[in-house]
Amino acid sequence: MSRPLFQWLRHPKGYLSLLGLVALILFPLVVQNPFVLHLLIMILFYAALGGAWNIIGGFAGQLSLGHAAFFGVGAYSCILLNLYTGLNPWVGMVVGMLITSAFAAAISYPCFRLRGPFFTLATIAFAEVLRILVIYFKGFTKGSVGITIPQKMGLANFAFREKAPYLYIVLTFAAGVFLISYFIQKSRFGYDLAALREDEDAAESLGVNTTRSKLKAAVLSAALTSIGGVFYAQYILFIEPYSEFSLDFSIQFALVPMIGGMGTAAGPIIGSFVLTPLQELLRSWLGGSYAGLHLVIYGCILMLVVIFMPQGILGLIKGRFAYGEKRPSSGSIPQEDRAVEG
Amino acid sequence: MKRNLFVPCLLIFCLSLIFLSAIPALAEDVIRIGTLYPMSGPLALLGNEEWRGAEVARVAQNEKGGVLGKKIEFVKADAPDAKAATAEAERLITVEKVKVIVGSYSSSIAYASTAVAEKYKVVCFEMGGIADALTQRGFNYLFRISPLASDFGIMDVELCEKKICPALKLKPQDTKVAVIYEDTLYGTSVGTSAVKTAKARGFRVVAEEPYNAKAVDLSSLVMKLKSAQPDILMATSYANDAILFWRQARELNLNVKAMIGNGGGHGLKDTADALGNDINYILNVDITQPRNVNEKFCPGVKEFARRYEKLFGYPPRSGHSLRAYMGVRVLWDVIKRAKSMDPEAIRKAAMETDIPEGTTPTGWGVKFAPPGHPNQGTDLRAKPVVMQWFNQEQYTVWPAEAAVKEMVLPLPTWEERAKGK
Repeated sequence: MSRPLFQWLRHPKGYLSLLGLVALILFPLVVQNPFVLHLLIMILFYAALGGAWNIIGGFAGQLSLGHAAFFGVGAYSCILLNLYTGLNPWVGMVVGMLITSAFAAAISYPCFRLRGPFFTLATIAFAEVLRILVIYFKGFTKGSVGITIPQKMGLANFAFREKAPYLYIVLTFAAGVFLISYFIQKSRFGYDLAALREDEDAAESLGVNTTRSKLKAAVLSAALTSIGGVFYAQYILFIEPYSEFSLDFSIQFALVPMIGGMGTAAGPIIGSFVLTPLQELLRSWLGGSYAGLHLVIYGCILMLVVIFMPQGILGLIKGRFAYGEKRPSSGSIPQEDRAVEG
Repeated sequence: MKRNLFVPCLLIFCLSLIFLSAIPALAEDVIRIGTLYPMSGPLALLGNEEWRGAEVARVAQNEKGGVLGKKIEFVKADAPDAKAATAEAERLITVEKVKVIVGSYSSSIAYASTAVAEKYKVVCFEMGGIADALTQRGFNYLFRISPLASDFGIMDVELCEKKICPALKLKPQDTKVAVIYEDTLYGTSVGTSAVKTAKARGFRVVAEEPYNAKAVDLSSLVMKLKSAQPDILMATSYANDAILFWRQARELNLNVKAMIGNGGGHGLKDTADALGNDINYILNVDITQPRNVNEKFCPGVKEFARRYEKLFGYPPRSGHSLRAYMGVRVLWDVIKRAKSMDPEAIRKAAMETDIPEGTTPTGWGVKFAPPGHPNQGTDLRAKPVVMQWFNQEQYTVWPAEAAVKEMVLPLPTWEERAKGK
């Protein structure tokens, strides 16, 4: 185990990642400005959630536009449990993950047996229905009035006055999602997903249980997304159905890996480091003087990226500076690997 | 090796952008106030309208020499939703170093931004968020000048008690009331307050129906109301749903003796343009409007309308700007008495504010609820007024000192209107 690790560290990909990680850990010690820290937290937050989406959307190629549903279920389970039973938010987060996983399995199983855009449509509908339910059962969920989370600070309560603890939590989360994605990319499960993404019939004929693999990916992705929901709720300290289950969130989670590079472990991180600051800075520079212009520019940049870098930023890098590795891109699986799978 | 340079370069580019934005634009000889409103996105229209009211107050004060001998400057922030509000409040406070923030049109935006400001002990003057819960968090640096959502519901019922029931010769216990409201924070908080107050004062609440403002068909809601046969209908709606509901009410011939709207869509000229004469005789409980109101009740309202038109080229579009104008003028008064921009001094001066009713451009007085009050920091002297639509134009009809026209009751039936009543 130590030899491959050592080799990995000698590779530029390895030491650059490690350097970046160390820089991020030291960052709050050097920079005290809360706005910059907030921006960094949001970057890592979207990197983690983009990574979670990437497992089902990128690796397995099942486009979901309803990840806000899992996000909201995670947040609401945790907050409601805390409100009614006083359950610790950290424990609530785990319970929320379990509930979300069950939801994800229930919604995915029937959809995955169908071909076509059913999964995408079902996820959008699912998020909408959940939002309406949360609004409807207002006696229990407080409806659209939302829930203000009591400001009891401390590690045990998952609430802090400073930004730095949030940064470390979200950094751990993003690193965790990255590692999970990295191992999926290298594992048999990852190859199964890539195979079914490229050609579902061929994958099945080679003995891949496609429905099961997709289901596994969906549940894993949903569980990770629910952690993000809890983090967001504890960070803003206020939840309400219109923002928790918003389509904006769903789209952003999908956009980050699409821009960075779908189906790769590093893609969502790169995507978020580009998209999130771009969005925030365009708004703070132009929002005051020319209302709405920032959205126009943001939209144009997105279109340009999609037209000129259909593989995402990572795809562009790999394509331009390919250095003769066996696996040219995230996309197809080389012949010899597929033979092993079979 | 070129390949390895691309990602770090990208990172350096992004990080340098961040640092560039972190350099505050400092100017010492002005007083800088942050304004946080939705200037883009779905809330932009009225968010912008409110900002304009604040801007009118700023320009007017600068003509008089500003405050504390310095000119006033606004630092604009665009917060289309709660997420952005957190980031923008953070930026205004830590990067732009403002000591006072004025905002923010919507309750959910105010929820997020005021929580940030409270953490940094920065004073917030809120003239838009009307949800009661906003000031029920025990915040020390938040001051709100506006009637609360519950005040709207209470006003609905008082209007029924004092004007509508006598006019219809009904007793409260015989009066059937239906309440409909759109299901976001705004509608829910107004609607539930109306239901609670109506029940407490002995009215018969025959229907309470929340609905989604984005709905494309409200006929089932209209049918439910038809079978409940209410005498009085209270509605809290945005613009499109108000138009849709009233059109379908006409198609399905739903007749009530009085219809009370609560601001939102029922107070907008756009709704009148879409509905034409069908909007006539609808009552609207709302904040004071900049036109068709008795100037004796709200001195300075005409001056506001004049200044607004001079600055932006056409008359004010709604009462939102007037409310922000009035609130920001109170802020200037508070800063003058605080004699500094220190948040503690401003807070103390704000708490000492004592402006009697009938002396401001909205007619409201100002007395902030003291610490320990359930609504700490809310202006206890701000009350909504009642308008009625005549010829697609709103006129203030109640209370009497603000009225410019006599209230017309009951609401004519659709047949009577078709005949041209």
